[in-house]
Parts: sequence; C-alpha cells; structure tokens
Amino acid sequence: MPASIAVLDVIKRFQMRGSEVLALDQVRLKLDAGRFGAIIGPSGCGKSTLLRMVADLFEPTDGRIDIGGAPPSRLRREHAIGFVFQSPTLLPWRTVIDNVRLPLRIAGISESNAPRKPTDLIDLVGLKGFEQALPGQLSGGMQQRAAIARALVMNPQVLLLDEPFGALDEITRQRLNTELLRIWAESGTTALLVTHSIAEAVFMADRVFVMSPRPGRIETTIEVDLPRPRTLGMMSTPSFHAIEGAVRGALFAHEAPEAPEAGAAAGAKLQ
Amino acid sequence: MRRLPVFWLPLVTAVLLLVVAEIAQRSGLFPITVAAPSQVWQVLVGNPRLFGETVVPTLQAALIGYLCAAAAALAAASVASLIAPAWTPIYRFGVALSSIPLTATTPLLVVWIGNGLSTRVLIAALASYFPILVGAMQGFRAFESTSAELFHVLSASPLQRLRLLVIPASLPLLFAGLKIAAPSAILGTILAEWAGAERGLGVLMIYALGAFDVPKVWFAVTASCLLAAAVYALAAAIEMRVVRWQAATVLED
Repeated sequence: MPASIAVLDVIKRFQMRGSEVLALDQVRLKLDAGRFGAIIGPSGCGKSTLLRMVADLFEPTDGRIDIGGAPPSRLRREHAIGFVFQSPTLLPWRTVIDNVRLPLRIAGISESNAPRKPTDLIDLVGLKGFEQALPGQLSGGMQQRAAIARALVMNPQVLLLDEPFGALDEITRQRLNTELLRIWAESGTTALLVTHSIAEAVFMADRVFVMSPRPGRIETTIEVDLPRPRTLGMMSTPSFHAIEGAVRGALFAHEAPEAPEAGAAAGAKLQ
Repeated sequence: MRRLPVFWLPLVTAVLLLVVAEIAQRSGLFPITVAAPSQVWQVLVGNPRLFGETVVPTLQAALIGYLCAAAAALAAASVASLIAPAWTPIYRFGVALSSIPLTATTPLLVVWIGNGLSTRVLIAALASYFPILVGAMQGFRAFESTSAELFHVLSASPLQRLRLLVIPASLPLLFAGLKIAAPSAILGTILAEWAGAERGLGVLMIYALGAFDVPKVWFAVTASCLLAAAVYALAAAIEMRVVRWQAATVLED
C-alpha cells in the first residue's frame, strides 16, 4: 500500500561549533499516495536533510512529518521505507542477490514470505545473470540498480531517492531515470526524489517542490501534468520547456536579473 | 592467479637467498661468521631431536601468546567501539604497552614470574598485541557512514548491525594487524627464551653463540625466520578464505 507524505511546518536546526544553524525553515510539502515527487534546490539548501527526516534518520526540531497518517519512526520500524542513497551503499562482501535480500534478513522474513521476490526484482532492474556477482565487479550504474532492487524488496510504502544517479554520467543517468520510472510505475509506491537537475525533476515527477537556499524553504510547488509513461521525446516538447522554465524561474526568483553584458556580472558573482 | 604468489612468494624468496648464500660461502665471499646453508642443514640432519627441542617449544609459546594477544585486542577493541569514552584510553594504553622496551623488562619478568611457559607466552603476547589492537580498532569503524544510515533505515538491531556490517567491514584491517603481529610473536618468544628458558630457539642461540658454533647460530636464525614467515602465511591464508571480496575484478563497465 503506497502512503501519502505530508511535511508540516518542519524546522530543523543544527548545532555547529557552538552556534546554531537554521537548516530548514517552516517546510511544508504534500504528496498524495502513489505519486512521484521531486525536491529540487541548490547545494546546501537542506533537501537531503529533509529526505533523511522523512526516512527517520533525523528528527525535526519542530513541526511534524506524517506518512500515511503515521510518524516516520513507525514506518521505519515496520520496514516500510525504501531508501536509495547517492552512493550505492552495497555491502561489498555480499553478492548482488544477498544485498537485495539484506532487508529481508534484517526484518527476519524468509524468502518464500518476501513481499517481493529478490530474483524478480533483479530481473526488473535488469541485473539478471549478475545475481552471484560481487558489487565490486559491477559498474556504478549496475550497483545503483541493485540498490534500487534492495529498496523495493520489502514493497515499501514510500521510496525515497537521494540523487540516486548523481554520480553517474549523463547518458547512463538518462537511461536509468527512464527505467526508474518504469520500475516505480510497476511498484505502485509513492516516490520522493531529491535532485539538483531541473530537467530530471520535471521528467520524473508529478509534483516538483522548489527549495530556496539556506535556510531551506519550499519556495513553490509546481504540478507537472505531462502524461505517463514519460518518454525522452517529451523532453523536447514546448510544454516540457514551459514547466522547466517555471521551475527555473522559481529557483532563481530572488536573484538579481543578470545584465546583458553577462560576462563581467557573472565573473563578479563567482567571487 | 592471485593465490599462488601470496602463499609461495616468501618461500621462493627464502630458497633463492639460500642458494645465493651457499654459492657466496663456498666461493669465500663471506667471512667465517656466516655459515653455508648446507652446514646449517647438517645441524638439523645430524641431530633431528634439535627440532623438537628448539622449534617446537618456540612455536608453541609464540602461537599461544599470539592467540592470547588476538583475544585481548579484540575484546579491548570491542569495548572501545561500544563505549565511546573508552576509545582513547584503550588506544593510549596500547601505545604505552607497545613502547615498553621488552629487552630490558623481559629479564625482570623472568625473575618475577619464573622461566616457565607463561612468561614466554606473556612476552609473545605483549610483542604482538598492539598491531592487532590497531587493526581491530580501525577496522571496527571502517564501515561507510551511509551503510550505517542504511542499517538505521532498515531498522536493524545493534546485534544485526554488528554481525552484518561492523565485523565484516573490519576484516581487511583486522587481518592487516594480525599479519603484522605474527612475526612479532616469534621474536617476542625468542627474546623471552634469551632471558631464561630450558628449551627453544632463543636458548639454542645463547648456547651456540657461547660455543662459537656458527652453523648452529645460523640454524636458529633460519628457523626463527621460517617460523615467523609460517605464522604470517597462516594469517594470510585465513584472510584469503575469509576476505574474498577484495579479490573482485570488474566484470562489466
């Protein structure tokens, strides 16, 4: 059962060398069950922190997070959260299939009672034939596929993705994004993706949450009404460009418009 | 391809050195204080009981001391990784232990505890404790920080985290420490035998040096080198069975 995600007025402060830093300020976000959401923002805006709070890795300083009516801690204890990190985070001593089985092992569920069969998932992510390979024998893209299979093996109510393909080249990334959409559609789960690519956010999501830099806030929420299944061809349509433009506009809303003689201005800004 | 060199390289090197030494001695390149390998071999062949009187007792004390050191270091490292404030004191105590000049303290210990097996075991353990401790302590924090996050999201118990993450991730560094410590255990035992024992390679060394029996001295030297290499090879062999993922080669990119 996919669950809705609601982030309600969440504030996060960190203690850093004695002083207090406000990382997230009054963040509000709503994503219906079974939908795909993308959080986009500049580096250091706290988007990964926000995703980690949804996964119960941190607790908000103030405010509340609600997943299908329950706090994240309960979902985590019920093994109902799937998380894909930026690095594959596979255990190098376990084979691909044993890495995919790890959540079952920890939850104490036998393979025959698994919510999803590890072998089926390996098939789904395109790693058939590599079940017995060690992670060190796979390319970065293949390792991340295994990590996605691992995140889905408990049939999670929410799938959280922290820039899952951020370390990969553009071509591999584009291909894996298309595949991720197929896998997500098949799984029927609610997905929340953190990214810093405008095109990726628009291509993947039903709803894009645009964050402002420090302290992080949800600046705007933009609905993406492109039909599904999404295809790479859509990325060159006017409607895609229009939504991209809207996201870009929201991201740079607070910056001074650049002068026509951009060279000098950009140079000055870089310092 | 990877198995053979790790096992045989120390042996092949030793054999090559022996051949070179034999040739050098016979052609008069070495002074009389260096014995030819064939003379050294004659020492053992002429008196086979020597093996049981020297090599066996030394190996016995060294192995027991080594295992005691490994057990103590693992226990200390476990405490250090479970109780954060204990980390620094345990490390510093290890540094202090390893900086004791055993050449000076060993004779005192022999007078204090006696020249029995327990003294030799204690010295062997003292000599090999620190490398194992460092390997274990660094090993227990060698897992990736995102792996720790993964185990949290998966709601793993502390015991599952230990068994499925912390211990496997520690093995490469732990074995590095075990391999470094292996020859130290042999040398520690010989040192203890120097200070007073009835049998062992250290005793043979003292006796042979006193009698200026050059081949016997070199027999003792060679035997202790081979023993150290053997204990190292044992640790390396166990490592290769346990730490298999390090040998991985990329199948496809």
